[in-house]
Amino acid sequence: MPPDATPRDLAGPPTGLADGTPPGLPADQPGRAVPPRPSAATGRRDTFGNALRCEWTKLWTVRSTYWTLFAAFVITVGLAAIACGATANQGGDVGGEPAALSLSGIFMAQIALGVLGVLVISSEYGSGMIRTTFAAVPNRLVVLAAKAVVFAGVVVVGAFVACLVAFVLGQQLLRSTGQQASFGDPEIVRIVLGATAYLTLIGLIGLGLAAVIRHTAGALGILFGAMVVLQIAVQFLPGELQEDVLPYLPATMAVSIVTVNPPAMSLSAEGSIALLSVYTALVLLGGAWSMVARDA
Amino acid sequence: MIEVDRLTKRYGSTVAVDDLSFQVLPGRVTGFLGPNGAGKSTTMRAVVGLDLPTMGEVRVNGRSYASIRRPLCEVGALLDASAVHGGRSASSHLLCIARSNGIGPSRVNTVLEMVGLATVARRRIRTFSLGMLQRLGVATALLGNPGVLLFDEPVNGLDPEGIWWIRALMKQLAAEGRTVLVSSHLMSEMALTADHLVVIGRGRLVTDASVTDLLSRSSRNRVRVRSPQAGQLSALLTQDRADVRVQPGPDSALEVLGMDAPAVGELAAAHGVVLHELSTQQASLEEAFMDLTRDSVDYRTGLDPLQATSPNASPGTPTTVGSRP
Repeated sequence: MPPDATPRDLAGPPTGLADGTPPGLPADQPGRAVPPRPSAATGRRDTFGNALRCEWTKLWTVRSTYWTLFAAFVITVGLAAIACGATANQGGDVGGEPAALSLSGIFMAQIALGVLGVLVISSEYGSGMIRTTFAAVPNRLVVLAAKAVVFAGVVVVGAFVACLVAFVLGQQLLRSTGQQASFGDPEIVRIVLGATAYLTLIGLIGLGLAAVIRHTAGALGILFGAMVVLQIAVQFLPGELQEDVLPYLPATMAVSIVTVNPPAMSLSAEGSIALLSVYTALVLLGGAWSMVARDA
Repeated sequence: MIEVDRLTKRYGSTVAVDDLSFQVLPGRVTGFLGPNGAGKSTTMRAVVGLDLPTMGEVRVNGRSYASIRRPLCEVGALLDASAVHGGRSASSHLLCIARSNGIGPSRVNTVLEMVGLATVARRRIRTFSLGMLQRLGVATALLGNPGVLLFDEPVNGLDPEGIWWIRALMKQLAAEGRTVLVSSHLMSEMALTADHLVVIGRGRLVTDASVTDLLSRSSRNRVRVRSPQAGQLSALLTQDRADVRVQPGPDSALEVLGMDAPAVGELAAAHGVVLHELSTQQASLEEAFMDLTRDSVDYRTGLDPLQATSPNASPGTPTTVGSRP
């Protein structure tokens, strides 16, 4: 682990200044010996490790993290309970997609996780904190990578737990209809893992967008524009063109990821995850370029 | 030690810093002065790698900032105290920054004690006053116990006790052998803190000199003399001396420019002129600063502030070292 021992001790630190006691030393004594300062370059080569620990601490010391993760969890699990509970109550038919029904909350939860992804970066640009961050870690690619890794790690775990609970709860509620799925059924493991991956990738797209846009509102606008508005706009296109475009929109991909039999006009689940990963990589690359090329 | 080497920074067509070179040496407080918009903040941001120079470079202890592995342990900077996430507590904020450079958490408490924020360590930064934010910024700069410190307008928002504290702190840091660069647009503030001054205007170096040098060079230095034979004395002083000017001062005194007090006294004695007062009026650092930056103020009013406030000020063009053509 890190060089946890405090750097060097401040030679005669101006501790007394805390309460306004005079420091005692006159200014005009430049002749005094400079305290020996071992070069910082001798420190261990753990710049990235330190950046990760820094970003981890940052993530868990603001309330928005708790709120957005809590909201994502409640939405995912809550909508599973409502959708599956209501269907079971009315003795309805789940159309052979009990898993998709229990995971319908991800369409809402992605908003909360997108917000968190955006905030991880835009809150720093908005407040100016990013300048302190870059002064502490001058390699901006390290900063972006550390943010992305910490965020993705937290969201993968959180989204997986939420999807798992939503699935188990939803299937439990569907038991009375006899249509419930279990982990032994084909595609089920893929669906739960796919939903987790989908949520994580959407969050990362938000993070990358914020690195480009730098403003919370702007980045959120574009993120949700891509997820919701685009989907609606495409409905107004002529039929053929719709079929050409729809499979490549995030919302369509989400459907194909959580269904056993994806709708006709869509990529396969694997194809959707792969394409969404490409989108994510492109946005993060754009963010990296923007961070490095533009002044903070 | 900080070396600014032919630094140029352009934003679009605006030149913020123009071929600026100077060095900041350890062991003394170097004041970094210039009117608003002169390029002080841009230069300081370039030192810590936030602004990429259009041309030229900045070295800290002989290296570029980006190549320093744990930069906070070499350079501490207070650039904009309000640039913090308001939702974190002071100690969480410092802990995040400490972690980024492998600095142990115990150091966070130490610096909070040093700046007098220990009692509010758990409070959210959003609730802090401007003065408390400045103290937090100082704590951030001191976190890595660096040998080089930059403070951009550190007294902004501080109460008198805080101003007194930060002056003492900067002097102490310099006395410990550290390199301390403090920017300000207030010459009077620098007069109380700095040993050495780097003055810039419109992105260019105006002067790089010690405070003492700067004062003795100012064209506003004058000799104040009072005599019941003022008319005779005035004629004597200007007789055959094209570079000496005499103007009326307050209290029916005369102000003599271009001659020192002993010379005035000797001349008076030689001609039997009675003197009631003879004293040297040194220009304030503020006046010296105004002289130096007269040509490089970005946002100037039609009014020369000195002319406006002091009717006796010299209208002569100041001689400055390194001033722009």
